[in-house]
Amino acid sequence: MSKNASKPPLEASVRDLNHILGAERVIPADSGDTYTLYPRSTADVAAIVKWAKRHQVVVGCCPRGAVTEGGPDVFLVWDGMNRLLEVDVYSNLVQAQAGISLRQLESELNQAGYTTGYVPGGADRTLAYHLAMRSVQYGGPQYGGLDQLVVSLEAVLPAGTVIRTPQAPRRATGIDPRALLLGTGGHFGIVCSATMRVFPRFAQVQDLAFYYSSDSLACEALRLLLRHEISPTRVAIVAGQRGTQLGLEGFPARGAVLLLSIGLGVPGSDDQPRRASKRLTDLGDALTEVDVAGWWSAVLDQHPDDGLELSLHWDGIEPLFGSLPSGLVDTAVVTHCGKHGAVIVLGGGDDGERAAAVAATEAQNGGWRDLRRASVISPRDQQLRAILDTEGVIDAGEA
Amino acid sequence: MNKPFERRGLATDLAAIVGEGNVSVRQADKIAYSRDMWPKAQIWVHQGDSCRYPPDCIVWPHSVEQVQQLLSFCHERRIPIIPYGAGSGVCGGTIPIRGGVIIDLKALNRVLHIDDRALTVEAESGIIGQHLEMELERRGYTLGHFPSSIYCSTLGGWLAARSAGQYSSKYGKIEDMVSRLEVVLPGGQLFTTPRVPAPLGGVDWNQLFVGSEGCLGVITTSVLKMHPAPIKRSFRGFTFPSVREGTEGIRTVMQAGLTPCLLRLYDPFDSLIAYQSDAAALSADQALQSLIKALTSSGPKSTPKRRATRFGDWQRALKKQAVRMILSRPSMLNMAVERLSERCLMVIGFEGTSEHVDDSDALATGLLAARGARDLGPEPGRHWYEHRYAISYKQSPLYAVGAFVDTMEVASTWDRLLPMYAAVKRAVAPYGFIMAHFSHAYTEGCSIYFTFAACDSDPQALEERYDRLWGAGLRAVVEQSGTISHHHGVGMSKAHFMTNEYGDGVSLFAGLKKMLDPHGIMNPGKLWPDAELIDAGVELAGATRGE
Ligand SMILES: Cc1cc2nc3c(=O)[nH]c(=O)nc-3n(C[C@H](O)[C@H](O)[C@H](O)COP(=O)(O)OP(=O)(O)OC[C@H]3O[C@@H](n4cnc5c(N)ncnc54)[C@H](O)[C@@H]3O)c2cc1C
Repeated sequence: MSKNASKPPLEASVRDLNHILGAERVIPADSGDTYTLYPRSTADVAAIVKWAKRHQVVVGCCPRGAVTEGGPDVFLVWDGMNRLLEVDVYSNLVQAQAGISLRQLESELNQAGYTTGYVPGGADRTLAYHLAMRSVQYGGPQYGGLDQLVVSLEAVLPAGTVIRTPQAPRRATGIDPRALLLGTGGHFGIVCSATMRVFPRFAQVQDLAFYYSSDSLACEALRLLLRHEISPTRVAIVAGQRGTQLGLEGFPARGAVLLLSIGLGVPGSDDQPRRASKRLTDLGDALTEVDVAGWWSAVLDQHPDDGLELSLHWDGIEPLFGSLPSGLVDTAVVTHCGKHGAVIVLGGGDDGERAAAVAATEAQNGGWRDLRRASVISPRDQQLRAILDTEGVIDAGEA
Repeated sequence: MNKPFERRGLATDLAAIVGEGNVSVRQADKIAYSRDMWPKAQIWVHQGDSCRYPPDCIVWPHSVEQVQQLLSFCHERRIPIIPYGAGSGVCGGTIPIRGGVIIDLKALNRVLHIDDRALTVEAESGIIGQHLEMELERRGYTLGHFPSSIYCSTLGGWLAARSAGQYSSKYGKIEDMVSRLEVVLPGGQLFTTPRVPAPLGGVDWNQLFVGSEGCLGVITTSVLKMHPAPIKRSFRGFTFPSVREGTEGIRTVMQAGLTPCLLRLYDPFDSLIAYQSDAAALSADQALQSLIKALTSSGPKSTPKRRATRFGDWQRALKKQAVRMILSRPSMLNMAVERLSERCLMVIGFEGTSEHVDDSDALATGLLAARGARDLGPEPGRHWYEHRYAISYKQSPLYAVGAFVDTMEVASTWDRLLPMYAAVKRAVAPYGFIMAHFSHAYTEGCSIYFTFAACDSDPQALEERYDRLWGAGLRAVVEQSGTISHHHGVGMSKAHFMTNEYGDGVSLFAGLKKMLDPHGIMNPGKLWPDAELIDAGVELAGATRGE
């Protein structure tokens, strides 16, 4: 919905909105031509979208923070929707509003003895952001990726209607609406809350580090490990150069380091570090007396915001490393891994280098996403979006 | 009769695409392809209506290009298309309610590539599940997908209906295994998704085509995640004092982070059927024992040289009569079953490396004992393994006596599981005899697989009873906020309940339909009622509002 001359003045329309939200939650910008809205519930968000449709107003809901210039008339801010709603320890589920930060969510869960096991970079960002971005993460196969963790979503669609995906562990009732709401930057609906799986925290976690002479050798060691029913809680392979960039003390300048954490304290788990070490030292060396925990926090805290992410099966990873521009290889962090493949995150690089990395990934039939680019959705996705939001009510800020 | 498209010369035009020998308009084929394994369609046959919804033609394409040409041709002519795997679906998913062309995909049956490093397999959709698994086994792998229908269902059907195998607690459902899909869209275009272990940004198209039940396109090829074949497998049986304690046992095992390949808990009556040799231990009364035999025996044997004795005929007639009598008084029977011993049987199994199996078995045994289970050793598991594909084929004797048997597989999170179990039993009890087992377990919940049977001497009344039973059962599921299907899909049978499941989610499906199948030729009347799609603005081949 573009701003046009025939639509009523925003100021007049906003009077209606004051009744819905309360005037204290409808704040005009200094310039006076846009408003910031503070909804408190899914019902508020639905009412806002319905109102927007009625008044030909564009609602800006930008999980990534950026907005299209000249786009939205009103902006949603999540400050009033940032609560953990329920921890269901019987079904091992947590329901939280989208505005909660991941750090807050984890901290509250940890106090109750649980974790989501979801460890993306940028823990201070909101759940809304991570859901909208389907952020890649360092959590290991013990827990699974975001698609496995999110059991159900509550979202407001462009018509102002609310969809609550059924809260069941799995279903066979047609298409999965989560496929349109997770990772799509908010373009297909405004996710207001999510129900996610949680897991009892391990009493103790052991951090381990192994050195390999190259990234591909480290990947090979990890691939072989994950075939053998060993499930780390966190995994990353960090290129030597990247470790140096991050200023990690004692980090080898060349080659690559495999970092992993293994949960202990439940029957059957205590032998896992020994089993893992045995397998991982076939191709590399264990790094002892290094600050693995410190390395972990630096890697997580400095996860690149504008990374180029490449998703590949294991067969494509070694050839890919062989054909990447060397400057980019030096920035590589391999994460989000499982028995069948992993995501390589490359920081830095100029447009040409990134284009070469994308071409190399496509040659391996892999998938990619460049977070430097404005839009997280493809032209094909845009086509569907145009059908589902004919009037362009929701502006996710980057189309 | 609705004649929305030009039928003249159709077979000849189709033959130009797939070759003459690969098109059929024979009546025998039309009858065979007019229904799948939906029990309601079996009731129609019982009513004397063996071909309620005939297709116009059946075609057998042999290449993806032929599928493309077929779809492009039908799209142009607005001819309904029904993708067909092996017809083992149990929800009416392949019934050609507006006629049109059945595209049987079984000739697209090649395993294209097995990748040892990535642990992926690429195969065409028409391959029968058991053939795929045999090929993987030969190469030292497994897909880990073992539906009871593995001998009579295809990879494409699994994907289109979100199937679950018996080992789903370890390997996941079919949708968890998908890495890449190739789909032919109604205009004939090929739509492919990237081959990835995990999706990154953007719409996850795999999860839109998976479960689309032939309503968005024809899935022709897929890349799936596989696993090294297990080195060791072990099973064990337990009895629990009650369903409550048994389900607590499942929950405990799953939430302890164990990954059993098999985990099933039979409710008291299903326990008797699942494991008759332990029947004495579970002590059913005599009448129910007879019913079990009747339900599970493979029916009258008709060997040509059989010397029919009057006594034998009389015995069979009596048995029929007894089953009819029992099943036509479901409330009494359900009440009798309630009086049974509450004990129930669990079978649990692990597979993988030796270390994994041994550790997991020991841990699970300890956890279950602490939940009040009695260890029966490996025998019940061995028994289950040997009969794991057997029970589902034993439905026909009941149809012969004017009864039906059907199954309803629903799921919910743990907090609502037992209330849902009780609510469905209560809702269905007036219409049919009902029993259940719990399988397909997850950390956050579980599926319940209800089996019910009912009888009526009048075939029309039988159909009405069937509809009322399903309506009552599904309403109870919805009221308990469960999902109406865990792995059989929606088809025609549950389409009217999709609004309860997704509410305004219909708009998402309608949007996809508009984009990918603007003329609504793909498998009309499935997943959502046509009327709801028309209301949502989708043009449907030959459909008029209110039909
Ligand atoms: C005895 C028995 C046991 C069963 N046990 C199980 C079980 O353990 N687990 C389970 O999940 N199910 C089970 N089922 C149900 C059935 O086997 C599954 O639904 C199966 O997935 C259907 O596969 P099919 O190839 O027979 O598909 P069909 O019945 O031919 O089709 C099913 C649906 O998929 C669509 N379709 C088929 N192929 C394609 C394609 N290539 N592209 C697009 N759409 C397509 C059809 O149009 C239809 O809507 C059982 C059925 C029977 C009869």
